[in-house]
Amino acid sequence: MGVCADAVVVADAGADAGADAGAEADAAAVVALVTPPTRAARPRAMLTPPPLAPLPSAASARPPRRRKPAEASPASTHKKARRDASPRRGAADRSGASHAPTADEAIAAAATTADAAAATDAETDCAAGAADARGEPAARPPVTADQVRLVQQTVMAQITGGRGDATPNVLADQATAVIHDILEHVVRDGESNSIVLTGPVGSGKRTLVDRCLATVTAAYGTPTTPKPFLLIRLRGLVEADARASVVAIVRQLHLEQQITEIANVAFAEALHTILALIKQGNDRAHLPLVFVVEDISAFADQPRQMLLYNLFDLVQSRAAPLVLIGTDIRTDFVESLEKRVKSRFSHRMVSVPAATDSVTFLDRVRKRLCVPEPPAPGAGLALDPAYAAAYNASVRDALEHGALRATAMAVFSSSQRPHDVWTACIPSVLALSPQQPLLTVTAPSPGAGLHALSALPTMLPLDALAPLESVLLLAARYLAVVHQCADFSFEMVHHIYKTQFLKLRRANMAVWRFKKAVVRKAFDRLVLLELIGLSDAAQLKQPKAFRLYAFMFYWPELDAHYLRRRRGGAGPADGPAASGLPGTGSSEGDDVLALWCRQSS
Amino acid sequence: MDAPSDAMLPSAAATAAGPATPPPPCDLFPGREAEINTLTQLAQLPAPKTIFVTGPPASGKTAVCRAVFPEPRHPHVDAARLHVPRLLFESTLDALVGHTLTAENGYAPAYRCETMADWIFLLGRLHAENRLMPGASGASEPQRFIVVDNAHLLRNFPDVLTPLLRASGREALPLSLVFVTHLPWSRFMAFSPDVTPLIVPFTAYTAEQRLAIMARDCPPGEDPEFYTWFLHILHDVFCVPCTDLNELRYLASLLFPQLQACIASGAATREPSDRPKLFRHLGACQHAAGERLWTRELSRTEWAQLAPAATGAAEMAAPVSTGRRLLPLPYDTKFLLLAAYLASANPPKLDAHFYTRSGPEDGARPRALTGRGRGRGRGSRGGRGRGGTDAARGAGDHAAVAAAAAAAASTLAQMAPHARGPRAFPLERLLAIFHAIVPARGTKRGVAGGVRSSAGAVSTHAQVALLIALRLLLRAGGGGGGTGPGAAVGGAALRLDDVRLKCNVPYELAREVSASVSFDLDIYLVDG
Repeated sequence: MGVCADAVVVADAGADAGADAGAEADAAAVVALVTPPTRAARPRAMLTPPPLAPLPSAASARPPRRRKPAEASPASTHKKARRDASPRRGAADRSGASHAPTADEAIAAAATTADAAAATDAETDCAAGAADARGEPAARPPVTADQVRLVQQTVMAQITGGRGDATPNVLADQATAVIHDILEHVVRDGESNSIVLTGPVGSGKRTLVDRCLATVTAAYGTPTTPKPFLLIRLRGLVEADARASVVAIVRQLHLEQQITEIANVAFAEALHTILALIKQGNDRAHLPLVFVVEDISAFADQPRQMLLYNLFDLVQSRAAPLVLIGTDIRTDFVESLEKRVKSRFSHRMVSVPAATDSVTFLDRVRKRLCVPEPPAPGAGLALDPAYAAAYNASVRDALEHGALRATAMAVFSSSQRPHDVWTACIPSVLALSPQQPLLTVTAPSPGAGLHALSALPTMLPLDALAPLESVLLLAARYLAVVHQCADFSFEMVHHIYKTQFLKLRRANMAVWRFKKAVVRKAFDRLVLLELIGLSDAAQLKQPKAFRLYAFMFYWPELDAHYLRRRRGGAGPADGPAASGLPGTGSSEGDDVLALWCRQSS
Repeated sequence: MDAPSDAMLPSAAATAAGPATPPPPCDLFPGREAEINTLTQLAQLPAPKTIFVTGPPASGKTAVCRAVFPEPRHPHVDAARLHVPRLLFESTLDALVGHTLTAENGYAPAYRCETMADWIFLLGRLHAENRLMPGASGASEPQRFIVVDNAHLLRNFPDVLTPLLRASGREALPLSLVFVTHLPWSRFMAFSPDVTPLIVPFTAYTAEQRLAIMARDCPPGEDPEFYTWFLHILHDVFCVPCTDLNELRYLASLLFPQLQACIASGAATREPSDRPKLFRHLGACQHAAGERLWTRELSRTEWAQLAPAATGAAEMAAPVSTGRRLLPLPYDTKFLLLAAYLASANPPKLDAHFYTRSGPEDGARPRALTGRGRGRGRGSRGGRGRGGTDAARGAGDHAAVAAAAAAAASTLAQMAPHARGPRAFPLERLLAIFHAIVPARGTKRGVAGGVRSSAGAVSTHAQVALLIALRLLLRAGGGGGGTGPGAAVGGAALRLDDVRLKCNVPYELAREVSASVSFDLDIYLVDG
């Protein structure tokens, strides 16, 4: 193991150097892509080669990357690494002479230790891809568009697929056992029961129930009756009211022929009719009923809780073998029950935690972002194993060190829904291309995915406002700051606009002077954008100009916005500010707004 | 040497798109490249079940969605047309199965679908029976998108919006919903607090992008450079009140013919040397007429009638159709309206000073005490033959009012009239002021004044009811019955005896009305 450990260190050094090289090369590639391909630019990019040769000092200065010691059995990964080595070597050889040391070393290291395989893959591909993008001679691009598309399809299908068998919740083992037990008892012994699973959205409640149903079906299904129970699913969000749930039950039991008139029947009556009809049938008479009720607390909001009462009553009275499995996000489901319903409920509640620690959470997040390895044999195009490994390594890297980690940890500490992280990753997955075949999450892109969590202020459409509309917002803010008026009417805002804003001593205030009707139109647009709204419904009875409005957001954010915009306008890199046009984005308009914002506070 | 990587892009696009919908050309939508790219890729990859497209009004959301998700294949629904959720369900099902409403089928939908549960059930059945996509281009692009425009209006149906946002029941279907709205996600969060969809933000256009898009409206045969020059000037003026692209394009389409007419008349040419002259001409148009077009005071048709005749700014500023704007009220009703305006504007404690008749030398004219005409510098107080004691009392009150106003200069009290709006007043006060300000006909018509007091009372009440029905007066309480407009019009529920009213007329309109009956409104108004 001592030899092996040395090899690991070497591999790490090489890998890190390679990572540096890759990063450098990436930067160069970006430069080459951004600057127009003039003749002057390209030789420069080629003449200043990134420090491709492993720099011992730099490599040793960086701490070796932490790796999990056992990701797979050594033998198999060893074999796999060797199998992967040959295409990689080819790619590295083709990638240009300057890369040879890194690539060779990387491949040697990969051949020695299986652990480093993924990382070196990443660097090789990265370097090769960068070399290609930079325009160095390459016979064949290392990653084709088809391959990228395949990864995108796989990952998007996993992210958006909803129910994921790919990521069973390891924390739900106890709940799985309980559900499985209950289902087994009802199928084998005809024991009725009821249970409610609680857990946050995305914790895998439905997946868990589905899996248990599948295993019980597999265990007890016979050739004559492949399903040992009658399954009825009810969704609280859509089928909560009595009629809709009866219709849903009838449809799922295929009793439409027998029951045609269901509109005017009481729920209890309908349920008993349904049960009687099932009893009549020869083939299904002995089968137990399994109700899977999602968002069960929605049924508790219904008048008299008819469905819950009747189902719990059936369970209690053992009239028919019946199991009720409810799922909900509310842990206080029992409290919402009426007394007579509560007394019939078995009070079996099992909680399904989403994640207890960040490691399991990140692991869950990662599993759906990665492509299956080895790639699933599918019809048509197969995914290049080397690319798959490199991609997965990039995902792992982003989750361990990159910007994605911050996002994931923010989600972990707030909602614990892996879906939020996946949604935030969609722009990055869509951005994959042959030039950039690996997942790179730069920063939480504004407006996408996680916006709702982290960047709520910037969701306000303040940037889209015309200058006059901004002035009116700031006038309303003036009222709040100076006059302590939380609510304001158009007349008040117009008064401030006329008497305070237009009196600002600036050079060109004439462009800000408008008729009242024009100001009114700008005010109405603020209402349309729901930046301001009627303070209460009674205001509708007031004359239009005097209806009281209130901010529909936390108004001190305005200060930050307009003062920041001014700073941004002064910066050199602000695109709109450079236009020189008065109005939006122009530095002059921003100056006036910022001055007005400052003066009025 | 960039050739390999460059050449890869089209091929990638070709293989990805396949024979199905080609991605919409980005040059149709300047500045929307990133959004088009995202949506196109979503259309080709397994997409999230809920996509939330948001961005300010007139930022190309709907147009881009129409291009990326073309109509016959992907249903488009405008939530503004849905007054009941049933229409959403039935129209989407119609579009998904390719059913069109015709006279033959009696304009009946393909499926009758009242509830969300029915909709989900039908979608699932259609999908299972493989009828969801007739005429599909094969398995290469199996998913379909339902684009809901103006999605914020769906918030009226929370029972529908929540399951739609959370994709309840659609998990297994290749069917995504695209919500298009100008509101941010935070306004929808209450409907789906724990599930956040994929948000595709459309940013506001920059000034350059707006100009580039407007430049594509250049009339055929026009010099594009000249048109761009025109747009710059227009944009400079009108982007301050509003940056809405549709508004700007509307104005450009109306104002540019003015410039063309000016050139056609030979007053100027398109040469750069004549630009200052054209600029002056355009400036006159913009300032005189632009704001009226902007606020829709002038409609497009009226502008078309006015514009060819008008040569200078004065004509354009002149009112076109005064009849439309002035209230066609009877003479006495106008005074009633003015009395209501005064009753709403002035505090009741000053009524005595305004409307008492102090002596025979005053005649029928009431006296104005603090007529400052809302800061218009009229200062028409005194000079009306005021008695000595009255003058002293009036001066004292005026000083008190002024002192109070000064003390409250920077406090909420100064804002009070703006905040409060019109005061509510009882009917008696309205009638008292009305009788005080209406020109006493008794002086001219002899005994007619005596008749007014008995028969006139009935007609005055009828006029008050008329003003309430016209919503020029609002009921602020009392009067019995409901408070809706129907109750006011119905009259049966309205008891005028104890009603409290408010005047719903802005100052500008009140002035117009007073001018039409040659009544000086300003001298009666207390400022502040």
